[in-house]
Parts: sequence; C-alpha cells; structure tokens
Amino acid sequence: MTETLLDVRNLSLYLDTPDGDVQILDDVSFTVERSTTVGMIGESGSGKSMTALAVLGLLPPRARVTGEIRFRGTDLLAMSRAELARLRGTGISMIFQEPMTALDPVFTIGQQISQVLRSHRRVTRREAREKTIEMLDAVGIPDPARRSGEYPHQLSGGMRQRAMIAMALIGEPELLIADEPTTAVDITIQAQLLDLLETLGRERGTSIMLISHDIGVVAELCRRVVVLYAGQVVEATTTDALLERPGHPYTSGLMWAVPRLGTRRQRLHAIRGRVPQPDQLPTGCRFRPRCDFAVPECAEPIALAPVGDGGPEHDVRCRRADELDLPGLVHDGAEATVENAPVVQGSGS
Amino acid sequence: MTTVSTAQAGTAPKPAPPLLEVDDLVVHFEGRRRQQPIRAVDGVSLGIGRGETLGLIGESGSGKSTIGRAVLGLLRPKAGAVRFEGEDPWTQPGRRRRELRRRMQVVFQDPHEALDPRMTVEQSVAEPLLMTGVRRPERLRRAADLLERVGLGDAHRYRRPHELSGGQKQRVNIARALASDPDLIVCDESVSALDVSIQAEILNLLVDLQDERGLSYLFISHDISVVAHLSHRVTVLYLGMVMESGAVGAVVDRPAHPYTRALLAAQPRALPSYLRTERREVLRGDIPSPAAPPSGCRFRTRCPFARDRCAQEIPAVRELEPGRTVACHFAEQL
Ligand SMILES: Nc1ncnc2c1ncn2[C@@H]1O[C@H](COP(=O)(O)OP(=O)(O)OP(=O)(O)O)[C@@H](O)[C@H]1O
Ligand SMILES: Nc1ncnc2c1ncn2[C@@H]1O[C@H](COP(=O)(O)OP(=O)(O)O)[C@@H](O)[C@H]1O
Ligand code: SF4
Ligand SMILES: [Mg+2]
Ligand SMILES: [Mg+2]
Repeated sequence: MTETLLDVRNLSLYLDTPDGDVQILDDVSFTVERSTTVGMIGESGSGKSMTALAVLGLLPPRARVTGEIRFRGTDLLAMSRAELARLRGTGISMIFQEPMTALDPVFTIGQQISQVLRSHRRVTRREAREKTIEMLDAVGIPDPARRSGEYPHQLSGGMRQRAMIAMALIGEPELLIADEPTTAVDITIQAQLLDLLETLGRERGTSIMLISHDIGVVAELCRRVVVLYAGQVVEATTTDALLERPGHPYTSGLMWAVPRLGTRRQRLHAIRGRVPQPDQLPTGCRFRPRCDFAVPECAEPIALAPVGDGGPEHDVRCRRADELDLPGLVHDGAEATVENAPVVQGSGS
Repeated sequence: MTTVSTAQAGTAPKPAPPLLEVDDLVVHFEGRRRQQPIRAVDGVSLGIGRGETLGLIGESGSGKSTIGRAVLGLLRPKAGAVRFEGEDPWTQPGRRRRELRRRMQVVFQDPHEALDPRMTVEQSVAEPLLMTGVRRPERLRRAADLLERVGLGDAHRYRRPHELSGGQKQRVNIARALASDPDLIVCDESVSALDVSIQAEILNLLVDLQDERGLSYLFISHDISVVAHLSHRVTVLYLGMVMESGAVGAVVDRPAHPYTRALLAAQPRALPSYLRTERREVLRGDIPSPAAPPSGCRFRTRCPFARDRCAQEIPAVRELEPGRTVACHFAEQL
C-alpha cells in the first residue's frame, strides 16, 4: 500500500573546517512515503537544512557524507553530478526560506520558470510559456499571464514564495522539500501557503518534506514528524502520536516551552542550558546535560529504537523512553493546559 | 483570602491616569520618488497602566515599531501626542524631557545590534548609570546585581558580546534597560529572533521582573501567542489604525473584529488531526500599501464581510463594553 519514496539510512555528515573535521549529522535515518507529508523540526543549528541539502546533493565541497540516501530505491550518494542534476527538479525539488536568494533578479519569473521546464523537457517556447502560466495559476497567483512578465522584486513576499513553489513544481517532482518556506512571511500569508502546499500535494500526489522550527506549522500540514537535536534524530512518529505522547524529553520540553493562546503568563518550561556546539558534544545521549530525567546510563551510546506501546511507527532515541510518561499537548481528548498537564520539570527563568 | 480592590458599581474611585497615553498619534514618512507619504500610523490611541503589559499585534508594516519609536521619542509625530504621566516630553524643557525619556527604555529584536562589541557585559550594563552621577564602585555593584538578576553570573561579567549566545545577549540588553530604573520598557520583537527554549527563558524573566518591580511593558510582536502570553491588554493594528483593543482574554477568546478573527484563525496550532475540527478561514490577498490605503475601512479589501458602506465610511473606534473597543461597522452582527 505505502511505497517508500525517500529512504535516508545512517546518514552522517562531516564538514572540514579550520578547526578540523566536525560532525554535523550523526546516523540520521528516516523515510518519506509516496504521496505523504513529513515534517522535520528542531532548533537552530540542529541540522535540518544540512539534511535537506544532502538529499539534494547540494552540499558544500568541504562536506563528506557516509550512509545511504535512497530515492525510488537508488542510492543518490552513488550518483554522478550529472545524474543528480537531472534528478533535481523532476525527482526532488526544494523551496527555501528566502525566495530572493533562489530567484534571479534580472529575469522575469515567467522566464525563470519556463527555463526550468525547458531544461527538463523537450517543449517549445510557446508550450513552456503556456505551462508556466498554468502553473502560476495553480499556485494562486492572480492574473498569471501578466504576472509572469514581472521581476521578482515587483512581487510581495507571499507572491514570491508562490512563484518559488511554481518553479519547484513545474518539473513535476515526486518529492518537494520545503525548508522554512513561511518563516519570512506574515501569519496570514503563512496560512495561505500551507493551504496551497496541502492542496498541491493532495492533487498531484507530491510528497512533501516540510522543515520548520515551529511544531504548530508542521502539525498543520504533516502526517509524520522527525525531531532533530544536535545532528541526530531523537524521535520520529506520526504527528498525532507525537503531540499526544512524546517519547523524548526534548520533544516534550519543546512543546511546553512554546507559549500558546491559553498559557497566559504561566511559567513556560525553559529547557535549561543550550544546544551543544558540534565540536563539544556530550557522550551518550546528546540531550543528557539538559535533561531532567538523566541517569548515569544515559552516558552510554544510544540508538534510535521503537518504543514499547508506540508500535513500529514510533522511534525514540532515549534510554528511558519506555518508562517515562511525558506530557504531550493532549489531555483527556482535549488540548492540554498548564493546569491539567502532568508537571513538566525544569528550571525557571 | 485577600480582598480584591476592584470597586463596586457606583463607588468606583476615579482611575489613576495611565502611565503612558498615546493620543491620536499620526506618523507619516516621506514616500519614495515623490509618491504619496507612507501613512505608517494614522490616528492611534492607547494607554498603558502601571505594572501592565499592553501587547501590539499586527502584520509587518502595520505600524507597531513606529508607535514604539514615537513612544520612546525617537521620532516626532506629525500629529497627536505621547504623554508620560500626563506630560508630553516634546513640550518639556531639555532637562525634564531627558528625565522622562530615561524612564522609558527599549529592548529590540536583534540582541547583537544593540550592544557595543568593544564593551564587556559589565560595562554595557553600567554605562547608562554614567549619566546619573552614580560613582563607579556603586555603578559596578548595581551592574553586578542586575546581571545576577537576569541570570548571568560572574563568569559572564567580563565577556564581550561575541562570546555570548543570542539568549545571553538579550539578557544583557534587559539588564541594560533596567539599569536606568525605568517605569516602562518597550519590547519590540524582543524574543522573535530566539529559539523557542531560549524564548521561554526570556518570557519567564520578563514576567518575573514585571511582578517584582511593577514595570509596564509595551510589548510588540507579530507572534500572537507570544503577545497573548505576556499581555494584560492587547491592541490589534492594521495599516496604521487600531482595529480592536481590550483585555487579552476578551480579544483572544471572543474577537470582535474580522481582522482579529482572521489573525487568530491563521495561527498554527500544535494539535493532532482529530482536534482540528473547524476548517480555518484563510484570508485572501496581501496587505495593501500604506502609501495608498483603501478608502473607508482599511481592512475592507481582505474582509470576508465587507459591504458597500465599508468602502465609503471609515468605521469609528467604538466602545463595545468598558475597556473594549472595535472599529468595524458590523462588529455586533458577525
Ligand atoms: N558552511 C558551514 N560551515 C561550517 N558549519 C556549518 C556550515 N553550514 C552549517 N554548519 C553547521 O551545521 C550545523 C547544522 O546546520 P543547519 O543549517 O543544517 O541547521 P538548521 O537546523 O537548518 O538550523 P536553522 O533552524 O537555523 O536553519 C550547525 O551547527 C551549523 O553551524
Ligand atoms: N524610516 C522609515 N522611512 C520610511 N518608511 C518607514 C520608515 N519606518 C517605517 N516605515 C514604513 O511605515 C510602515 C509601518 O512600519 P513599522 O512601524 O516598522 O511596522 P511594523 O513594526 O508593524 O512591521 C511600513 O509601511 C514601513 O515600511
Ligand atoms: S467595517 Fe466592513 S470591511 Fe471593515 S472589518 Fe467591518 S465588515 Fe469588514
Ligand atoms: Mg536551516
Ligand atoms: Mg517592526
């Protein structure tokens, strides 16, 4: 029934820096099924963008990777540059946080999108133009024929992001990776873009991997979630299971750190300490120095493994995952509040 | 049990004047290339009481930061006034004006930009005290106390900004703002650049400091959850005008203005699929240019309820109930 489109296995990534080789990703594994939506969350520096760039084969030259990245069964790490370039756009596409960095200011958006199409398919200029206008229409750009003749700076932030989506989808990719596509736009525009991604994904059967630091944004769109911490996957499961019963203390902590409409001046759970630098990682569980539940055994290496009652769909990288009962954002079938949730331990201000 | 001092009907004592009053404030900026002026703030009134947080919500370009800067005296209004304890700093002699300004401090979004890279943390915090004539040992002692209070111990005193994380830098900015012993702090997107776990620390700190010191905050953010968390009252802005204001509970739980409703509906919710019952209404289109705002109600081009009257008549800011105002012709019918 489900078919695995992207299968990332034991991906590690090292960067050659002036201070020596630093490991940015460690043993990252996750899958994206066909026609589904997966979110990736984590704080700044956790490795979300690096994971995306690795999948697209767009890493800086100083990067070294080990592991496997299988797309439709083929290992991308074994592909030549030319093969990868061909895959980008028609197999996997990406949209970025800042559309201005990806759009060329000296060409109209119509020219840029047609150009992408013509690099993938044998189409006449005229066909390319027609397809481009259709695509601009599909992403909700009003008056697409006229807009296709405009330059990126003539568009609002939201319209530019739509043009980016059109450009990413024109080659009919099977997987769209969206790296913080809504971080730079207003909340009402964010809602429009999330709706658009949802519709396009559903209508075209495109799988979407949405990268965000906002668990709410991921919950709006994604069926599954992967949580990254300091270059490792610490938890991966369905969005519903994650919100109901997070298995990793970091995931639960994050949920209770975020103010919500109902948290009115109540103490937020501030996870003590801060994310370690890639060259100063603790032994064993990387969250250990900040974790309220750490025991001496947490200093031993620990792998991502299924949790007891979560079924095969719930993997956690925590030694105590089976015994801990961590608060999620659901309580008795309703949204949890600070009053009814089990106390989250943690430091104050 | 303590008796709550909210007065009975009829015997209500006259409320003290608010600490800060913004009265029909208008700020326009010169447009580019002889275009129309940008009407960044167009007749905004608000008030902040002692020990109170007023949150300003609105999309980018709605005029939040401009109001903040006018409050701080960083720009001069075209019309209207900002009064601190009843006095307009612009009409006061220089000395008094500076004294009033000292009592209003600011914490900006970018924790790095506001700090002098050559100064140690201790120097940054002690610097505002130079002007007050406090002697050096006392200045350093106070700086140390403030740093301690914001959670930065001795280990950080002699560090420079580049040796601190974003959250630590924002703590230094808060300590520095507190050094002048202000009554009001304008927080303009003060936690927006921080990762969520650090944001939580700073929000907790802001709540504690307010409770301890009776500080007032003008708290500006595009993030409604953050504003709702910290504020006692909120004012919702759109294209330089107030759409709605009132107690946070009322505005968030029973939004009266279509724009407030739309903002709340657009708020992403960290809830599982089975708790996302109602389909959210997505607001169409973009914010119009503040150089050429729509006639009548400024929100009408995106409003799902707009009728003919909305294009012809600017809706007055009406009081719906005490302390609760709305600027929509049809607020009661929605
Ligand atoms: N070009 C580079 N050289 C050295 N280190 C890098 C480089 N790019 C990224 N890193 C490091 O790799 C780690 C992961 O970075 P990445 O950009 O993937 O984080 P992210 O999760 O996308 O964060 P954000 O939420 O801030 O976008 C970080 O520690 C970062 O400092
Ligand atoms: N110094 C300035 N010169 C010209 N226009 C400005 C200036 N500052 C702000 N504006 C304009 O005024 C409007 C309100 O801006 P601002 O107060 O920064 O909004 P917000 O903080 O709500 O995003 C925007 O259209 C903005 O572009
Ligand atoms: S006045 Fe009209 S356009 Fe404005 S918010 Fe009310 S219904 Fe909508
Ligand atoms: Mg990133
Ligand atoms: Mg601003």
